[in-house]
Parts: sequence; structure tokens; C-alpha cells
Amino acid sequence: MSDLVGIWISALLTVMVLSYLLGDNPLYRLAEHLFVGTAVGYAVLVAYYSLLRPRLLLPLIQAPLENWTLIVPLLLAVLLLARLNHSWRGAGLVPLSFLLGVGVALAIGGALFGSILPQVEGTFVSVNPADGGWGVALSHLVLVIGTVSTLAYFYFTGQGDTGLGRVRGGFLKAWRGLGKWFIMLTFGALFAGTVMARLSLLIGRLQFLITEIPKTLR
Amino acid sequence: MIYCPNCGTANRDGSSFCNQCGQRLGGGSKAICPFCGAENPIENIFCDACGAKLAPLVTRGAEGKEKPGLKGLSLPTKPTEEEEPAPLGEKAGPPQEPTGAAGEEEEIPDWLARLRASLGETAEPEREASEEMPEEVPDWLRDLGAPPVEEPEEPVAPAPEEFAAAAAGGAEEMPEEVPDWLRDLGAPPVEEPEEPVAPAPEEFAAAAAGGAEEMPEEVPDWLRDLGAPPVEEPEEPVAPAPEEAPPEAEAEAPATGVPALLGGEPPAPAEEPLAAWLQEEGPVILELSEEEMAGEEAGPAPASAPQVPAWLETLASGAAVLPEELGPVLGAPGKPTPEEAGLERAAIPSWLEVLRPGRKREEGEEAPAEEPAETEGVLEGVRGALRLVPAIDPGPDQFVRAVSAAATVTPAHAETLTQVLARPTAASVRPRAVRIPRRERGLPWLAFLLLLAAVLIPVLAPGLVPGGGQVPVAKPAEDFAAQIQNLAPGARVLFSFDYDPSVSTELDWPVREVLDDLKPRGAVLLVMSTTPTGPGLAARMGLGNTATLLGYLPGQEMGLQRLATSFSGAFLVDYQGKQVDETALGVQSLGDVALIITAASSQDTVRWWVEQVGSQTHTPICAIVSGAIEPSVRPYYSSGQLAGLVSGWVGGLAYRRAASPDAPMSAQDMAAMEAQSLGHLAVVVLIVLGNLAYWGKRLFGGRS
Repeated sequence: MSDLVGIWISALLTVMVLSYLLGDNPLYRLAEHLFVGTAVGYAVLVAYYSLLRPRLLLPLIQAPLENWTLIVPLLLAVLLLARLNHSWRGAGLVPLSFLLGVGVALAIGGALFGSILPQVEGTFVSVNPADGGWGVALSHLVLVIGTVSTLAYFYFTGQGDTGLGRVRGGFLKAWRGLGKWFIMLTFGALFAGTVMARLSLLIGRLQFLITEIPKTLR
Repeated sequence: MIYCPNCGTANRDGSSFCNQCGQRLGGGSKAICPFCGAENPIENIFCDACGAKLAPLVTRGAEGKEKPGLKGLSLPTKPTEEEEPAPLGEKAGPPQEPTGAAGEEEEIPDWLARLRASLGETAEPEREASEEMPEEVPDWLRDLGAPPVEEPEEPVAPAPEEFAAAAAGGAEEMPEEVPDWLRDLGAPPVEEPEEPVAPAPEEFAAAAAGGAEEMPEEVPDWLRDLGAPPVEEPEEPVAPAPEEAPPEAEAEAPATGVPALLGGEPPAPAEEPLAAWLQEEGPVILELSEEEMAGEEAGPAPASAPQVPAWLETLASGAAVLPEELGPVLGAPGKPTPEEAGLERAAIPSWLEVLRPGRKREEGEEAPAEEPAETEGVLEGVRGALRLVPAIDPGPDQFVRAVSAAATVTPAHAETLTQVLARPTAASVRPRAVRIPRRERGLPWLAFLLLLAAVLIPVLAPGLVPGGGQVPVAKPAEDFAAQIQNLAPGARVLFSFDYDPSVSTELDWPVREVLDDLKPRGAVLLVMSTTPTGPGLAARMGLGNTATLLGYLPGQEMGLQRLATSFSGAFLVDYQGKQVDETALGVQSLGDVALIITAASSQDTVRWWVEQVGSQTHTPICAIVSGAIEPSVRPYYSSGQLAGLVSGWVGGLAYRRAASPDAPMSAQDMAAMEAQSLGHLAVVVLIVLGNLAYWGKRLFGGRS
């Protein structure tokens, strides 16, 4: 019975969201607010039962002397609430600074050793057909050219006055033009991926309405 | 009566010397008209031949040195080549009707043009007089009307109007033009028991009563000079004007703010107008303000109460405390004038410079364009609401321009604001919507119906699309499947549900494919999530008895970094609230995990896994991602940081084909793939048609 009610509520909410095709309307707004509200409520409960209660409140209540260091995160959490009050807003900067500082430090270290260096290393590929065939060599060549030209597109400098400077400027200009095309192709691929994802969502909801609703009527 | 040319005292007819200052009077003195050269009796105010004024504007001292009319203020009486004639003309008093060529009228400032228009009728006598000017008079002098003309032999300049009126004995008119405070400054009139002198203005009376010596000390030198303008040639004193000298036009002329001293038309008899020389002090701002306040329909502004500067009010009150800025200019009473002290005449001080009404345009300089009307916004069609800011400093009179413009525009601004506020705001403030031509209004619905049909038809009737259910081979999916196939029985697999319900329709399918492949291999699933909604999505997947739903790992990137550092303690309780026993799970660190799988809807989540976990452990990571982020995640697979990659529905089917090549495809899966294929085809068709229409319209738009 609960599944039946759930299916019908899901179908009703799906139709309400699809009603946005007719323009912004109260039904769409209601479905949107329901989605956001239930998601936030669910997240708060999950955060409480999986984080606050077992990691902070229970240790402080059951063994406060052993876990007195937990007062520090508790104090930081309380200070974070101070941002809700305009006059105490400055106090909320303390936990925010702590969070941002740790987060940025982690991000920098992770980006350097997790993305930048491995990605640079990933472009050190062989373009020799003897290593993997012509197809692989061509793919690697496109990879190298695309990487270099895209980086050249973001290399902002002026054209030199000397003869060598003009040659270098013309060379960079050609690379920049090529890099722009690679960037456009990337944007096209991202757009195509987004279209495919949204089509999947549409097909999934249509399949749900067409297949699941008749099942409940039988 | 014979008036002393030195001190202005009225002397009896036949007197040879002034009874006040001893100046020689009368005799055979003649006044030579500076315009026609005719000889006139020294008493004449106007020339008998041409009617030109003979009263001096500029007097000469005994040394023949030119002296200004207002001592201390150093107003130039003749423009030099370096100076601009327009401000001088405005200050130093030409008649308002020019006598030069018509082309020269373009150089006359606006305020002077308006002034001229208002004085058109009363200025006729002056024009007639000026038309008879001799040819040797320079052009700029014609413009000025009746300026001080240098006559080497007998340079008798015309006298100011107020002087003429005083000399004419206008006792009935003059007292009205003199403010009360100025009366207080003057000395009592000279008593003439036998032939009483007509009640002259107080300043002349003071001069006649004994000159500067008898004036109160608080009266500055320039006020003394006003009372006793010396003539250039004492031997030929200028005779006072006859009784009928004051023109009748004086009484009828409207108040213009231009003093008679400047040679313009005399002011109208307002209730208590300032003396002409006082109106000279700050006439323009007041004048413009009054005109603008009156508006165009109201016509010329009526004469208003004069606004006396504060420092003049101080003088009027008798305190006689000069402003500091006037100190060096006026000097102390009784002291020699700067000229007498051998000093050169100073330029117009800066505080007085800003009182100039405006800069005369240079020859050839374009007239300021009218402010353009606003083209958009709530002020559309309104002109002058937003002032144009000049990009280049127009000159030292900028301050006056700004003040005048503010006074000028303020009523217009008020009217504009009233009009704007009166408009219906709902319609005017609403942003303009993109207007689609009528014939194109149905195109969005046509595109949507085409896409809906392409998606619905395969769902309602699967198998109609030939080849629509075929799934291409994808190496990332094959690598993913290979990683799972290589798992040993009982291997620990950490599966993270890092997506939210909004994309569950897309990701549930490939996730279910992977989970279905893991279960029969005996892998121990440790299910977690970096999003709060992830555990709920995982809970409805039917994880089986070998799976442990660890729940939510807070901290996102920081939580993953902690998980990579130490698995122990990362999860205290599971999703069901039970205590997590890492020993029972057989996992003390991520090194004990054989495979990490993340199902993510955000590229950041995949990046966090790769950067924070993949760089610290050697555990292979596979990803199930939405098709929207697949291009962004693909480089991690290409670089080997991801061991396998499945994206969207197509990736899920590709994984099934790689994991179980012989497994049949269900009708629902077939319909989904056909719908996906037809939907993509419809999108491509729409893009192509749209581009064709765009380029066709651009190339042949003129013909259609």
C-alpha cells in the first residue's frame, strides 16, 4: 500500500514538475519546494544521527572529562551560528576562517599531486606508430597538439617588435587559434553530454509514468 | 548750478572754483563728444549733436593715468588682446544693443541675448546714437556701445547713469534706487541755504560734503571713489547734466540685473533695487535663477528683492569689518591707493573671477549641443534629466557654470521627476521581454513536440527503431568490468553513492548493473556516501546481506582525506545506527580495500576521490558518472587515475555488454536505448535546422 501511495505521489509530482512547460505556475512551485524541503530535512536528520549525535553530543554527555577537547569544535559550531545575528557576525569568521584555511590547504595539495602533475605526466605519450599502431599514434598526436594549443590560448602576451618577436607572436597566434577550436570542441562535448543526461532523465520519468502507473491500476 | 568735476559738489552758477575742494570750475571749458567730436558745454550730460553720453565712465587722474571706476576691484575698462572681451563687456558696461556687424551677434552670451530681447524697445535711442559712431571707433568698441574712449586731447568719457541722474538732480527718482544701508554710509547733504541742492544720492552727497576726508573711516576707498570720480582734465570740468537729462526709459525699463554703469539700460524702478554698481557684483547667478524659475511662459522675471552679499550686509550694519579676502584688495581707509603706491593693477581676484557669468566662446568654436534625449529606461524621451558631464575642464568659470546650471536645471528636474513618478510604474519598470515574431512563436513548441515524439514513440512501441538498441563497445566500461572480474571472493569493495535524487534516474541504472555484477562474486560491500542523501539512495538498491551501509561521511574533500589517512574511526555508527566494527569488517585502512567505486553526479566529487584518496593509496578507483560530466572526468581515466569509467545509460549498457556479453537486453532497456537514440537524432536535426534557418535568414534575409 505504501508503494502504491508512493508511486502515485511520485507520478503526481512528476506531472507537476513537467507542468513547467506551460510556464511558471503554482504546481511547479509546490513540487520544487517539496523537493528542496524534503531534501534539506532528510540531510539534517542524517547529519544529526551520523555526525552530531555519535561524534559530539554523546561523547560529551557520557564522558565529558575524557572528551573535553570536543568543546573546541562545539565552540566553533556555536560561533558559526553567530553569523545569523548581524551584530555578532564577526564572531562567525573564526570557524569560517578555520574551515576555509584547511580546505584551501587540502585543495592545493590535492590539486598539485592529484591533478596537475599526473595530468601533465599523462600527456607524455609516444606518437610513434611503432609503439601502438597508427591509430594510437594519431590519438596521442591529437592529445599533445590539443594540450599545447589550449595552453597557448591562455598564454597572454604581446607581439614583439623585433623580427624574432614577430615570428614568435605569429607562432603563438596560430597556436591560439588552434587551441580555441579545441576548446570549442570540448564545450560541444560537454553540451552533448548534458543533453544526453537530461534526455535520460526525461525518458526515465516517461517510462515511469507509462509503465508503473498502469501496474497500480491492475 | 555747476557741479564740480572733482568732488561733484553743486556750486552756484558763475562759480570759478569749487566751494568744497577748490577745483577750478566753468570758464571756457568745453566738453568734446568722444563720438562726433562736437564741442559741448561742460555741463552737458549728453552731446548736443549726437546725443552720446558725456559723463565719464573712466576718469583720469592728474597724471593722466587711467583709473578704474571702482578703485581696488581693478575691473579692466578696455580689453586687451589676451583678454576675452565678453566677460569684460558684461562687466564693464556696453549698451545692450550692439552696433557691430550682424555676424558678431553670435558671440554674445545667451544671458545677454535674453537681456537684449527684454530691452529691445527701450534700447532704441541708444542704438540710434551708436549708429552714428565714427568709423575710427574699433569694432570691439562698437560692441561695447558706449565704452570709455581715449581722447588724447579732451577725453571726456560718459558718466554712469546714476551719476548722471544725480547730477541731473533727480531727487525724486534716486532715493528709491539707493538702499537704506547705503544712505547710512553717506554724509548728510550739503546745506545750500540760498540755492538748495537737489537731494542727490547719499554717496554723491557725501562726496560733495567734503570728499574722502569727511567720510566715515569704515567706508572703503572704492566707495569714496564712487562719490568723487575725478575727470581727466581738471581745467575743463564736466558740467552737470540738465534737469531733463534722466531718460524716461529709465522708469519703464524692466529689471535686468545689468547696471547702468555697464552702459546697459537702466534698471526698472523696483521697490528697493540695489545700486547699479552693487548689481554688478553677482548679477548672473541671480539673474539666471530668476529667469529659470519663472519659466518660458512666465516671460521675463520680475524684479525681486536684491540679495546683498554677507560682507556688504556687514558694511551696512556699520561694523565696517572687511572680509579678509577684500583686505589686500581694498586697503585700509586713508591709505594711498595701490596705483599711488606704485603698484600695478591687480588682476581680478579668483573669488571675483568665479562670478563671471560664463566664458565667451572662441571664434569658430561650436555651440554646445542640446542635450540628447534619453533613449531607454524610465527616462525614455526625457531631455536634460541626466546632465552631461564635460570631459575637459571648460575653464575657470566652471564653478559658475555649475551653479548656474544647477539653478537652471532644477525646475526642469523637478518637472521631469514629477512626470516620471506620474507614469504607471508597473509597465515602465518591467524589463523588456524578448519579442518573438508571430510566425516564429510556435517554433519552441514545435521543437518540443518533435523531441517528445522521438522519446515517446520508442517507449510506447519498443523495437520500431532499427538498430536503436545496439550498444557500442566502450573501453572504459570494459576496464571497469575487468576490475570487478578480477576481484577475489570476499574482497572488500568500497562503494560510495555520491549523487543526489535529482540524477538518480540516470545513475540508478548503471549502478544497479555494477551491483548485480558484484553480488555473485562474493565481494564484501562497504557502502558509504559523501552526500547526506546518498545513503538513502543506496538503501533502496537491495544491497544484499554481504553489504554494510556505513552511511554518510561528512567533510566532503576533508572527509575523504581523513578516510585515506585512517579508515578506523571514520565511521562510528552505520546507517542503521549500529556501532561500526572495523575488525569485523576486515578493513583497518583503505589498503585493505580491493576496489573503490564512486557513483557521482559532480565532477568535483570524482576529483576529490582522485586527488585525496587515489594519490595516497594504490587502491584502484572506478567511477560511475552522469553523462553531463563525462568529458570532464575522462582525462582521469586517460591518465590512469581511474581504472574504469561508466557514464550514464549508455555506459551502463556498455558495462553489461562487457561483463555479460550473452545476457539478453530487456524490452525496457531496449526501449530506453531507442528513445535515447531517437532523442539524440531529434536534437541533431533541430540543431541543423536551426543553423540552416539562421544562416538562411542571415544570407537571404533581405529577400524574405
